[in-house]
Amino acid sequence: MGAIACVLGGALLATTHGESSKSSDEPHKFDTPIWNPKARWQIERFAGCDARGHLDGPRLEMESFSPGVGSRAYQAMDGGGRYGFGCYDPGTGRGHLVAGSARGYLDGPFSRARFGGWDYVVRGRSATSPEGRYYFFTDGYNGHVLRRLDYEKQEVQTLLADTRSLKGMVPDSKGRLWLLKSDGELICLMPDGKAEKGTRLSLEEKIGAWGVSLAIDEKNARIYATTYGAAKWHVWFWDLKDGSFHGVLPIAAKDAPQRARNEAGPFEGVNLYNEGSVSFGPDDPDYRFLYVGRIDTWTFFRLDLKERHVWVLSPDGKNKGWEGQVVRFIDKGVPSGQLPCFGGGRWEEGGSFLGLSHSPFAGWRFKRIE
Amino acid sequence: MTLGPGLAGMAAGEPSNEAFLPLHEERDAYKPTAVFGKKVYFIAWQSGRTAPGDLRKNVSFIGDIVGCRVDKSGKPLDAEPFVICGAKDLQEFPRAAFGGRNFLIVWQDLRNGKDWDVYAARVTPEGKVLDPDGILVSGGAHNQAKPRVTWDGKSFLIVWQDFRSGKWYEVHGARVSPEGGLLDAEGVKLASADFHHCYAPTVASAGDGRSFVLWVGSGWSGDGGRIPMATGLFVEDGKAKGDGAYINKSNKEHGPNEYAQPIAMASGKDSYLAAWKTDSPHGRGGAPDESNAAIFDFKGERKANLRLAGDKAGKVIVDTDVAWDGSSFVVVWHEFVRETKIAVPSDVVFAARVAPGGKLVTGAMRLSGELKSPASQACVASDGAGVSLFAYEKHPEKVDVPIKVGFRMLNAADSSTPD
Repeated sequence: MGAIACVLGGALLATTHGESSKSSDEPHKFDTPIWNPKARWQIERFAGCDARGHLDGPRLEMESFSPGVGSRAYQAMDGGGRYGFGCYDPGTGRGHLVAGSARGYLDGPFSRARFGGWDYVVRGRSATSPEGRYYFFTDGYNGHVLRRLDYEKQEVQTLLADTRSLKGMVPDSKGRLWLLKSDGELICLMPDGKAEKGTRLSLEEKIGAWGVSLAIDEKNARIYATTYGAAKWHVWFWDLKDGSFHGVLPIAAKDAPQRARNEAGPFEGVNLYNEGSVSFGPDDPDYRFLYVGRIDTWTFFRLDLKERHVWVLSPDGKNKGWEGQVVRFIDKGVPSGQLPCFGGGRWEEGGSFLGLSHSPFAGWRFKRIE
Repeated sequence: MTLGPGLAGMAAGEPSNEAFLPLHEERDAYKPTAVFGKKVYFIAWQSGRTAPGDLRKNVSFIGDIVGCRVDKSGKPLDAEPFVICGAKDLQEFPRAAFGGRNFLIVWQDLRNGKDWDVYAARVTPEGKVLDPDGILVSGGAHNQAKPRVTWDGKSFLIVWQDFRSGKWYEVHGARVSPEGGLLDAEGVKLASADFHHCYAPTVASAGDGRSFVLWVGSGWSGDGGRIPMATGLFVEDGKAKGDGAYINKSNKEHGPNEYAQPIAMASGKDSYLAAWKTDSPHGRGGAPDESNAAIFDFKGERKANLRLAGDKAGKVIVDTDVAWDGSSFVVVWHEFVRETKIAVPSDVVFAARVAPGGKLVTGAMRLSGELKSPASQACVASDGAGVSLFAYEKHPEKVDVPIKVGFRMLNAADSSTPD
């Protein structure tokens, strides 16, 4: 089940920094940044009612896979047999399938467009543009073409033919989409749809069939990454100036000392599950804090890249259900309970975020309260 | 008899040529439902979906419920569809039954802008809408959604899933008289639980005053062992009779469950056939596919399970519908099919006939759909004398052509039916 959350998470995490940048002009509710150690969040149900099936409409009474609801674009995983894409309208508090009609292949209006469907290998191969207009994904059942959903015109367009070798994608604030191929070639897809070749990246970690999650640091011209099955590094970055590889969060050698699984502390000795996602968050113009999800671990990490320290999200009190639970990032110890956000988070104004996980078919919002 | 485009050239046991219903305002046609009565087939569908505009600003809808009639020869009787409900916002998932005099169409309706309500409208066999825009069957706070309807011989029984508790879906029902009167205002609670959903109900009746209602349970995964996967009970005079004629608490029965729904059901002469979707994504592994249909006797006991698409494991089917053709059940569904191992999958509509005891009379008959023009979301109605009409969404080859309602007919009167 983790893979499903990853599909959604991959799409949303990639957009977080750009969107928070867009909203930085808005009045902030809190004087302190979200990475302040005193920041607290309270969990509330955002969407879904724990029932499998397909029912659109008011968010808290929706059925089926809804962790992605809250974004304008989300994959309607069931979709009543249509394999389509949904759209959440904050004005009405409703989510609806808006794109997709039958299984197959057809570009054009949302109402008639056809999609092939998705599977585990889609992870890391979808993204939302910073202004929320476009949603990109590779259609794994349709020859791995790169398709773009335009939420302004309600149209689907195929941008690139066979992208089988595509391993990950990340948008930047200028509307460009960076695409990483399995041989390390970086392609920059411009807002007008034209593709330009970029720097070839040094592949010191092999990128597996499930792709790679990417996060872009536009100030320092870096792309951070994590992948499943890495040998030496949970997280690394490439310098876009020369394509060089730089390890960030090491995987401890077999004989080396390790902390407990998910325990906060220095980068060295960290013990994480070897699959997940990376993203940047708001309030961070220097790109100091990298947020890391690890599939099926039921928590969420924040890497302080300057101090080289792992923080982990933990319930403040005893974990008796998620509703109303208060959580914070801790810099030592293990989290005191499970949280529905291991797929990452989608940041909102004011520092709240939507947690991405696969269970129990509901979406959870982490509302900032301190 | 003058044959229309539907039955023209049709051999006994073979489906007719494909024909199409007229479009409503050139809008895409979604999710048709079909019923037979007084010598005509009546097909209703959702016309249109999302209104044009930037979805980042707001999401607005133009989904209406429209209908069209087809005679027994397969000839469309209406030059253009008539509007059953053109209320604002969105109307979805129409279902229909025939009550001796008129058809009753039910649907879920978002005209209040907040949540789904259940509406219903009568339509005469002559095509007159007696309740324009429908009558409110159940509204109020929270969702009332996914209605199904049957005729029990005295009144229509509508069942739906209802979130009025604010926590769990419950199954509610209400009767509508042949005159269009709502006999159970706001509905009667038929099923509920304090720790899980009771939802996705379906209903069928032999017209003997009783209706068999079947639904599934779902809830927090940690309570999985305590939640009945599927439950059935009988309703008479608008009230539930007994605590449950059928309760499935075990995976061993391979019946419908939270992953294997929605369910469609019809009544035969001495049994019901329920068929369900098995293409519910639910994480690692395939969808439940040990069976996709079951026979229940008139006591509500499950008598047989079967695979409509044959014995091939891993076969998943989507959005079933069932009718009784007088000697067999007729079932329709869609699957995604790859024409070659490396080809793109696309939706194809199939049908099969099932004997009252649960044996397949025919193998899966491919009715419509190919890669360049898929078919999906099928429904079926029968005249009870061997002639059935299958309707479905027919998706266009070219993007500037709307999705239409396609249909084919099957005259099974001359084909043999085993017990």
